Amino acid sequence: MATSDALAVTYYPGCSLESTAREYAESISAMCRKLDVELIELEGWTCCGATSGGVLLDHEAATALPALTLQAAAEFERPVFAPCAACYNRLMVAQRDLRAEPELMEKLGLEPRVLDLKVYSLVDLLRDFVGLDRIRERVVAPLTGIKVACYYGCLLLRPRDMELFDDPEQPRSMEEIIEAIGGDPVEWALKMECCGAGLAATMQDACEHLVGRLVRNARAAGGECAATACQLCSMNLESRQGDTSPAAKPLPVVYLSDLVGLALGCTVSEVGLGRHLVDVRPLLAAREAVSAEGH
Amino acid sequence: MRLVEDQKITRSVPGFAERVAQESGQPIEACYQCGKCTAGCPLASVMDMKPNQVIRAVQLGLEDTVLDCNAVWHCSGCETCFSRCPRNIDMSRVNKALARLCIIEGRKPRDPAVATFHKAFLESMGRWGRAHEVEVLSLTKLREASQRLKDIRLGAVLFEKGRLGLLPSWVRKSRDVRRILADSEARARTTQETEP
Repeated sequence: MATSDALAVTYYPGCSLESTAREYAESISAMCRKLDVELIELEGWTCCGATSGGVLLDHEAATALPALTLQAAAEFERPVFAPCAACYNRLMVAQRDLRAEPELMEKLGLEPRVLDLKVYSLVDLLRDFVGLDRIRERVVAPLTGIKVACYYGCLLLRPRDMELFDDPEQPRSMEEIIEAIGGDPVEWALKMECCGAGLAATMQDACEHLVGRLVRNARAAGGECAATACQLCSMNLESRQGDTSPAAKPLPVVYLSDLVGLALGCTVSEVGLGRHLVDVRPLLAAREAVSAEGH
Repeated sequence: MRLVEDQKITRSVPGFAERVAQESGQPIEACYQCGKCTAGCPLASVMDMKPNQVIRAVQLGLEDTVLDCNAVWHCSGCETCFSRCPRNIDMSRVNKALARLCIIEGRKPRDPAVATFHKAFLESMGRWGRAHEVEVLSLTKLREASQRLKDIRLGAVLFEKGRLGLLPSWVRKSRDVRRILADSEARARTTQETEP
């Protein structure tokens, strides 16, 4: 349903949104439909190399992988949207390095416009590209009564010398988005602390230690759920809390796009909440109770 | 210095600090040991050498010490250290450079499971053009006995939730990805041959 105020982006979902983060892909597309953001998937996109590329490949190769995507996306007159925080990070770091190394640009045969290509993560897509006004205007089911601990993770605002959309120690952009949909963001200390997701596949114990700290701190600050904009954080926060059976009352972990989508009228299944590992139903039931009281 | 007592030190290798500086693109010599990197490091508690100690050892040319420590593998790459470094050293890039030197020199990584995961990831990415997560995790478990029994329940839950894509998606541009991987390997071989 393309309307005159439709916004178009080149969509670069990344490998995990095809598999372990299918729920994130569902959430993104449901939310974007409500916002009239058209997701035009980059045809034949390839992997950005992620952390593994950064560790095992040399600088040239680690830059060449995301550069394939930048080059392909630069064909189009629209920004790139990379909901995967790792993909976003690799694209942004590649742009940083290519700006500083014209000889590498030449060696990889890249055109200057790959440097001007705007790359958005979920957070700055919502705040800057869509804009808080459009979000506010379209809210049909405000998030009233839900206390949200916004969790930024490491990949959106670091390293500090890439182009940053917010302060790398005390960001507020996710909180602004939560406020725009009527939610109640809590102030907590560890919103920029690493959850260890980069090592989640093999260092389970270390991750449980880090996630445990995050969850306790979010709870202590009054958070009823954590909101992320990264599927690696999400999986790690959900799966490394220790006991995630309902009796243990684990902290629900949702995507920022889940909350925005729900506030804009998406259903629970449209945003993929049924695929989450921690049961989010108690949280949503509480919300319904509050909105029933209020109206 | 505790670092010197605890670690087995064989020799100081001339030119090692410069090599790491070049590989990582970081001004290793600028570190004055303020320790902010270690203070903010979320993984410091599971590292045998702390980030500031790794930098010091690199400055001193203690190649065996740093290439055999687990710290370079236990870095999650969160870049908190770099956010706070007054000397503008991106420690995460130093760790990545050390991890890579460890592999191209044919040493045994102190945390083999992390290295195995990274290798499996690149292998899968080269094969299909996109990383196939089920393959990456299966290969890691197959090759690392320590990992085999871990996360079985998690895997079952993900499967039940429809979150394990069993089939990879192949793209034509996987050719370009393979070429990039092969070029990186060829360059590593050439450097290795010319190093003393």
